Amino acid sequence: MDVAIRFQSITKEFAGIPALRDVTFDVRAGEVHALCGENGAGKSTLIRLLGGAWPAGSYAGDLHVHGERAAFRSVRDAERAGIAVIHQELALVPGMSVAENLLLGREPGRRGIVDRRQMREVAAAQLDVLGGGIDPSGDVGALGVGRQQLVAIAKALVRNARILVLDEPTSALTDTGANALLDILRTLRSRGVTIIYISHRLDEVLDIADRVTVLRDGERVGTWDAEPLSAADIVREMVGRDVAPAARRVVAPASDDRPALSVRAWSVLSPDGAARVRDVSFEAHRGEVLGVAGLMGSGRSELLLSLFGAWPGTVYGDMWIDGVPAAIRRPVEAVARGMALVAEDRRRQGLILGMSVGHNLTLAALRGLSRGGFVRRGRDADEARGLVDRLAVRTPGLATPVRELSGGNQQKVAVGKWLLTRPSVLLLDEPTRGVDVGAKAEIHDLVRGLADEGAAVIMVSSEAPEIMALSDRVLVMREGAVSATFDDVDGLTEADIVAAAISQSPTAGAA
Amino acid sequence: MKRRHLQTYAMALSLVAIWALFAVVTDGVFLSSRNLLNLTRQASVTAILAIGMVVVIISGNIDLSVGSLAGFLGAGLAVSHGVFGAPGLASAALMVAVGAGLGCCHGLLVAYQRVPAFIVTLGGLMVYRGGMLAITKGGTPRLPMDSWLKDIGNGSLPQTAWGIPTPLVIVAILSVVMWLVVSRMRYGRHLHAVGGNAEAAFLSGIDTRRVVVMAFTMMGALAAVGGAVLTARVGSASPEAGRLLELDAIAACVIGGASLMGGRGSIPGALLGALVMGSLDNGMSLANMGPFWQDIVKGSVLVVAVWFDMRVRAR
Repeated sequence: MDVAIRFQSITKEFAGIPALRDVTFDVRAGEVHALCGENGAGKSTLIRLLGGAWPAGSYAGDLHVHGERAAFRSVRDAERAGIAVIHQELALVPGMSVAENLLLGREPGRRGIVDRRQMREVAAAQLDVLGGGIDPSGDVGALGVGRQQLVAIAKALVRNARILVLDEPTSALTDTGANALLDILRTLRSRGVTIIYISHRLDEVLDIADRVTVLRDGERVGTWDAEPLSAADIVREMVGRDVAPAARRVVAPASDDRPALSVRAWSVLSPDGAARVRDVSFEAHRGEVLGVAGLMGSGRSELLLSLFGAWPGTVYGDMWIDGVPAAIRRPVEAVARGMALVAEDRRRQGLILGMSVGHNLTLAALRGLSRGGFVRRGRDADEARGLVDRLAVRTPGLATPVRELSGGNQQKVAVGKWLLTRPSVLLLDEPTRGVDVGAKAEIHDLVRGLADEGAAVIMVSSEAPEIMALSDRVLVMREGAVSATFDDVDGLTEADIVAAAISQSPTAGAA
Repeated sequence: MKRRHLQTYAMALSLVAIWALFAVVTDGVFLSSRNLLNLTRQASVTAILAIGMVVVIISGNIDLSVGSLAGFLGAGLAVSHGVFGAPGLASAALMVAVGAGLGCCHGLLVAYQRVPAFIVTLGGLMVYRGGMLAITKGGTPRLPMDSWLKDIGNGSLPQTAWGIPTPLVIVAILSVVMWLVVSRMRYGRHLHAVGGNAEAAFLSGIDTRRVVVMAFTMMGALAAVGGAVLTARVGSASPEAGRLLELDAIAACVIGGASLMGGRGSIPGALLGALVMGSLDNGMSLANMGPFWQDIVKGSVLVVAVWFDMRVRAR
């Protein structure tokens, strides 16, 4: 079988700290090759290098593409060699239409005048392949993360990439969306496209991959045929030890009569007047985790943002915190009333990337750490250090910019910065998106711990297993409304949740 | 960490290089203690504006109006104190209040009405330039001959061997105060957060709009102080006073490591940057280079400083 890519003794260091150490393996032409490893294992570095983001010369070792030694100086060089990398952070231009994004840099037309009709047609044809009902003339920025992901993949397909690298493509997708994507990848493989696939969803990896390479701490642990492997095998190689699956919560919450958060007839309109949340009512008690499931665009994120006073459009409805009516118009007020929000996109909404780990961790609780307007630096540093220890954030130090941490550790900071504010209502939007197995378990423990300490946790997640593992009660949203509520999670199956998310009758979408 | 060091070294090195160059060109006159004291006196106005500008820049904004505003308020001081005969202290306090008020207006327009800072302050630049002509009626109102206010530009600390210039003392006091605000106070943390990622800061429960308004307000008050020193140094207000000082102040901040993208910058850096700009002014005058050269060199320095900053950060 032909070799599409050969990584030959690749070593890459950052400021003397090796991110990749002597990594050697082949990716065969026309195979789906999965790359597994915890965050910080070197996967992202490796594919950045393949994609030309780390130019030749900035690393040691050789890269061969289709038998030829490749020395990419830029992302453009890599693209010209037929390599398209779809990163977790999507390279799309908000404010431009889907079609314009798809054909960015290769707009059809003559003498610099864009043929807009042809552009829309090409885009529509490509989007049809992916499904998802995306309007080619709609604004990319107005799409949810999941649909933006599809657009990014379509963009690579338009470019006839022969080697497609997908970094966590399904982390933001629902199971249905993910399955559709896997089907598309199978089609592409049958057409001879080589695919490097990075995902923390090991069931997917085993489903789609022909071979699996595991990285750990910058070194290659091994490459295996996917066929006889199990998820447990991969996890063992990734972490170097056995990991027990997240245990189901058994302790029943101490429910007190007054709910920590009570919401009645809650409706949310987008700034242009479209209904995003329709007439939602629910209660959340101290000590419980309320799971909120639903498809992308079902209004889950809008619900959380509007409760937190961070929604730019109109909000109707009533809300009580600890039985007291609350009219929250801005996050400042929400925080003052004991609420906390870990938003969906940690890099955009959660972290000040250029700021230090320490300062990020204490940012939301600075009022309590200062006197007369001055930050009490000793206490500030002590609290930050305490959080780094408690959350096991892997960082060189408190002063390290949060940008330099791996995704999982960044997410720990994004969640951890609310611990000092001792929230009574904690809103979580996809708290473990794109996070590796180890960090995920740690974040789950943390969420459960916060609930046990008396917070009411409302957790939005696209992953049904996560909802089922953590929630005491589950609320499913569909098209902005609550389509099902499960007060008892015993006996609840993934199919129940998926069914409620897709259609009203539990049997219709259970497959 | 390392990048920051690289930038500090680069800044210190370029300052040494500039001084060495002028020392040679002027046969050592540049490095005489007399000239160095004079240099700090000249650089003081840029320094005062730069320590305000760096706050605005950290917040992710820009203020193009400060040169005009300083000129306008300096002229206001001369009119109030010199022409109408109001007490010096009252006049100065009035100007600081007016400056803070106008800065606050900039901030309100930027933060609440979402008019880009570039536009708000570009408009302000023209408005204050016009306002200045209006209140001076095109003339050069003078401070009273015996006014103590002249000392804040021309005076020196008595009983010191070298005669430390009063403006230097003012710069030192303002720098310490503003350094505390930016690097030690809660406001400073919030400021960096807003400039670094406004959305994340907003979702962390920071009143981002208030942070921006306060940045512009402080800038306005500092512009008043800068304007007062400017007028005091000459003893009168001229219609050209403060022209293009905003660019010196912005260049000083950038040379001092501030990022025009927001979230990054420091008071000590802004001071060093002001010293670089002042050295260029002073050295080129001493070397008898035409005034046009000063504009060409300073404009180029601004662009080179930003280019260098981008390069260092792209690594």
